[in-house]
Amino acid sequence: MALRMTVYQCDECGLRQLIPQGYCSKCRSANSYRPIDLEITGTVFSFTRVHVCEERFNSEAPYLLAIIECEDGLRLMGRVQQPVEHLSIGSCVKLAEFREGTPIFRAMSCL
Amino acid sequence: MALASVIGVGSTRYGVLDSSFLELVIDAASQALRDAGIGPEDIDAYYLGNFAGENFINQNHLAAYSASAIGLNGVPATRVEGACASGSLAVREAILAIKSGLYKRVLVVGAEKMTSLDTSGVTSVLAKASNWEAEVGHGLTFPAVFAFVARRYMHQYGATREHLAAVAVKNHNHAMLNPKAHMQKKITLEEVLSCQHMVAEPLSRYDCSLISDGASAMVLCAPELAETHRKDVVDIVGTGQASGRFEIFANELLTSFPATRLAAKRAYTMANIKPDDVDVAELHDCFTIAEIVATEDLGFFKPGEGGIAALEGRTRLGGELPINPSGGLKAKGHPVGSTGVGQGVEVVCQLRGEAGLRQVKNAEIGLTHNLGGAGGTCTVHIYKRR
Repeated sequence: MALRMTVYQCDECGLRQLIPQGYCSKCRSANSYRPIDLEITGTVFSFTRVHVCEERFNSEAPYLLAIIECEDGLRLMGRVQQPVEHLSIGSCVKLAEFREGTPIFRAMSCL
Repeated sequence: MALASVIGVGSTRYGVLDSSFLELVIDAASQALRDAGIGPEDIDAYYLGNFAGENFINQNHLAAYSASAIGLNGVPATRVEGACASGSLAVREAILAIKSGLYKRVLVVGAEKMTSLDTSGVTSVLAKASNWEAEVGHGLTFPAVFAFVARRYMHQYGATREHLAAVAVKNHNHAMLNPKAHMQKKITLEEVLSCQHMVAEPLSRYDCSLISDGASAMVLCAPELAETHRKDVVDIVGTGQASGRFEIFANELLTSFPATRLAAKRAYTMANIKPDDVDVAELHDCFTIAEIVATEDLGFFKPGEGGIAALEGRTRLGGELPINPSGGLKAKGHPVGSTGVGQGVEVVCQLRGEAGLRQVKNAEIGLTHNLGGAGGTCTVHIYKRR
């Protein structure tokens, strides 16, 4: 079974967000967010390779972080596991695993 | 119309300092009181901007902690926190308090003692201004926040590291003229571009502001009383504050901070001026890209043209709009809670004509811009020589 992740969607306007809001960020409806489980695929909106980090991540540095843009306005941040030279804005990625709560994305061919 | 007037300013040097937090506050506050020609007994209220005393010096309740040390025992003392915008939020609280008519003279201090921790420790503390669960836990740092912005900006507008480097070179040059700046080191474009010490790509060490200790202070008073204290009064004629989406991933364009645009619009409207009217500005250049984006969000340049303007020298001393004559966060230094107050101190010195070698000629209107976190908080203030 493909990996799924819980995000939140506004009942009124359909906006999806990682973090549920008391009032929808787009249509301002109150208490309109419902959890939904999704397979997460999207494109890289921006990315960076982090060299200087918190001590707890030192053994992983340098590591790739990206902002991922998905359908219906959903945005989130996660690690990307692939060679940096193959990563660019617009690259297609999918959620491959969670490592201690951190979403890890891998490259996929764009649909 | 003046909302409040500045009658005294003071600041410590910014840098790696031996002084304790209290010594920094005492130094800045006593300079500002002396400059205003008054004593602590004349102060009605005290606001302190500080971001993370509980992490840096293991001390909370910092307004009361520092009040008695500057002779303000008994005076209402309030700490204000809004990440890197803490200082300007404290200034704004003082403006509102005076404008309300409740107080006549208010002391504002911004202070941070950061160098008690190493770089890794400071990185952890600063990261707390982002979303701990949804961002920091995945490895986000503040340089990474602005690396996202830089990468997107380059993609959107075809900007290069040269545009970013131009900001670093300019602000280092300016800091050379500021005896209170943390960094007194001239750098060249070639040096910056050849730097291999990446922090969060595409940002290198040269793109990042400094980890500094320091404190700055201002005495604000009711406009109708200002001339009983001094002749060269500087009025605060506009204040704008806005909040924005907290997480960097929620920033729609990533090449603009909506909170800056909103705060600026409010401040310009209140002051009844246009961006063109500004003669000198101290902007929040926590990273080189942040200054470029701020110059666009504040309406000085069109989207995509801020980097070009920096590279062409239009924002350096002697250019059409000098930005960060103090050296900015990049080279003057960035003791977080102090920064927003220090920006005001620099603008007041410029408007009084006291800025020495870095004086902007005939400056009448000055602007400060202070950004908290990844754009969750922004404050813009407009100062005018009376």
